[in-house]
Amino acid sequence: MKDREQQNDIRQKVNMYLDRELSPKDENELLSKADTDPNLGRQINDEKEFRNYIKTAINRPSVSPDLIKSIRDNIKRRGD
Amino acid sequence: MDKNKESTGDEVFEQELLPHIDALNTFAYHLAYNKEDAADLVQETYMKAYRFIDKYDQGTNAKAWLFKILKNAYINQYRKKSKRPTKVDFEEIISYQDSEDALKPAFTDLRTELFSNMMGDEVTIAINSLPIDFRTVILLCDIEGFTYEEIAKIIDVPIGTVRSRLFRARNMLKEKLHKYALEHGYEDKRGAKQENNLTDESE
Repeated sequence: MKDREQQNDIRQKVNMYLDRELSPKDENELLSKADTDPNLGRQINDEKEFRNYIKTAINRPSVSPDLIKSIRDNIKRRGD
Repeated sequence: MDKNKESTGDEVFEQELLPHIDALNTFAYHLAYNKEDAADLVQETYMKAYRFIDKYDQGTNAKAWLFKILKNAYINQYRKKSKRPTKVDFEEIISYQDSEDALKPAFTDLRTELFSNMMGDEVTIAINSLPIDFRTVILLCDIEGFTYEEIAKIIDVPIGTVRSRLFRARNMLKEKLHKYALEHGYEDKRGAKQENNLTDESE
């Protein structure tokens, strides 16, 4: 139980580090630990890769020129 | 709106608001599940933004402001469709207990190589299958790069909730993709590599 909590705590810190939400002190601590703990280093890399993968693989439907035109037309109509 | 204000409003609209249309469309698409509803949401967002452009401080965070408007427009649309008579909060659409998050184990078997052959569709399906609260934080943080503070303002929850929700959402997403990969016969190449290395060493 305690191990699981500790693991979750480390994963939470890895998440926050990659989200740039860790304080400079906590960030230094995490990176120093990663220098001596290959598992932690791998965990950080895996998490980084996973996020890059999600970001590039997600479907981003393109915006049709008609939608932009319709928005502009509606605004113009409202202003007239 | 008087003419001077209107031309400033138009300038702000074109220069600061409209450039975010692609990001808004992606967010709307993953909330609404289809392109037509997403387009309606984006249109409604821009109409509202223009109507309330006086409330926007030029040069500040236009993207976060627009995302908040879109999120509210989505809630209203959802409310209309579900014909719920009482006012509901975004958090009530699909409720869950944040406090349970800490007790659940993290998904640790993250093998990125397992996912490397998947197409974008699997990611989209997996993200869209997450409950709305979790899907939203993944989209805002991992796809759009908003900070915890910005996300907290967009979805009206404390920063601690954003943090715990993201943690849980990412674990759920990994689990779904991992399960999907195994069901569809994607091989864990990293495991295979390790096995090959062991065989090589023993020879």
